[in-house]
Amino acid sequence: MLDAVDASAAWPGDQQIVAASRVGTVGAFATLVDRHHAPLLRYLTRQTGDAELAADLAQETFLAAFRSLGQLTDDGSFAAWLYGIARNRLRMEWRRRRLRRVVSLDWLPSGVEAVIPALRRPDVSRSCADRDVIQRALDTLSPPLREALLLHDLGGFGGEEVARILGISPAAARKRIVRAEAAFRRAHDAEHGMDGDEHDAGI
Amino acid sequence: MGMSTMRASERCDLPGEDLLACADGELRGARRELVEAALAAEPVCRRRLVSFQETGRLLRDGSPLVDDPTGRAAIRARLERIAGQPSSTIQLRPTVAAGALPLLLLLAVIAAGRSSLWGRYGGDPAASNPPPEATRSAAAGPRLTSAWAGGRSLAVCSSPGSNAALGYRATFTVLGLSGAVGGGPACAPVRAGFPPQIQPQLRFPVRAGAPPGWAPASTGYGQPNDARYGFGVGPSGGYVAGRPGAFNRPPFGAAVCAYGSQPGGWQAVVPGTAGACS
Repeated sequence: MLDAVDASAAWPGDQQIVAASRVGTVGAFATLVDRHHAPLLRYLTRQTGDAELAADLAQETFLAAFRSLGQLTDDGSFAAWLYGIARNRLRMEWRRRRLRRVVSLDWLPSGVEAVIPALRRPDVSRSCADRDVIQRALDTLSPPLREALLLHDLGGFGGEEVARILGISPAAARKRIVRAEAAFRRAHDAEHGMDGDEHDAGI
Repeated sequence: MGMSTMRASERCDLPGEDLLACADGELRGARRELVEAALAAEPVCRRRLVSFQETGRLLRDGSPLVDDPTGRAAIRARLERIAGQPSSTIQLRPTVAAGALPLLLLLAVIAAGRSSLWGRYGGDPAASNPPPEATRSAAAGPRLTSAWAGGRSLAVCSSPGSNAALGYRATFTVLGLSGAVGGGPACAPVRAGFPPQIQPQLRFPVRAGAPPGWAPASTGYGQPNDARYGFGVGPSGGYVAGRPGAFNRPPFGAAVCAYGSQPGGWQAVVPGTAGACS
């Protein structure tokens, strides 16, 4: 028999901690960092395929969240809001990297990279072959599909929360997740040499 | 949708979006009843639902949570710089401090309780948070990680009458304390039941705002998106958990039924073994 108990009563939810954080305590907000850091890091690592970049983005995300806690509405989910900030940071980073790629370094005097090696470092931190099967499968997805799938399956958000984060309707979010799931399974199975069609059969 | 024309075992005419909403516990009303009826009647639909869940599990299992205390410390240091003073000496604004005081006290009590509870299980009592799953495997104490990673299905040990595809309910008895962890039918939220002997502070953290008795956990050992259900009791007590694998979602493919303290140390009671799962 499942007894009815208010098991939530013993544990402060994010909203309570957010309320404490709003009065200026770093300690309270650090509780949110402790609670959300590892999952956010995991999500960003899969989004970028780059653990170092993910760590930087996670840090920027939390700092931005701390600065703008006042913008979080009382009834909003802190986690969804946080991942929304992470999403914006990630998009800014992609834009910055695209810009960096179009700026040629050919004008630099020869030998300058020996002094400043970072100038010649490629944008992509690891070659495709170094990535694990899951990352390779994720890399085949378009960014919108990958984002939706990771928010749902790694972020742990339901379709309605994914919709809120992405700024689309729940129906559109679910469609996107379903498409992403199928595409990911096909890509993943292909990596294993399996026939991905079996997942779609009759469905 | 044409569900009336569906032929068993051939195809599933349910839109994937409905199955997803069902798996997320977001279907309501007549639509939910319709989907649940189709799930009950159509094995193909159930397989499709399970496929969603397997994809999620594949992603999660292949993307372990990694604790990064250095990263968290760096964030905290930068937060304190932003705030302009260390958290231990920060002054609250008088107008709001009074209102926030209960919350701060609550946080302090919870933090103390968590350290204490974790210490009982062999973790680092000095840590502000227990280490996450990825780092617990090397720690002394209950062997949680190996069983979590085993991916065993809680449905195996579900109570008679439970339907693995539509939900489950596992009852347990650890050291004389009985309870239940369960979910279902498929589109319903997860529910965890705890016997009154198990004090609230020993239960796993749960998501605030859940209806009483329905406890989608937001944090298991501090991990908000790796929800589990269960409780711990004293140094020689037990541990029971169901792992839905994701936030606020029915726990299909839950990994663990129960852990109990045995004379030789901690032992996981997992499906298919003699133990407390029923």
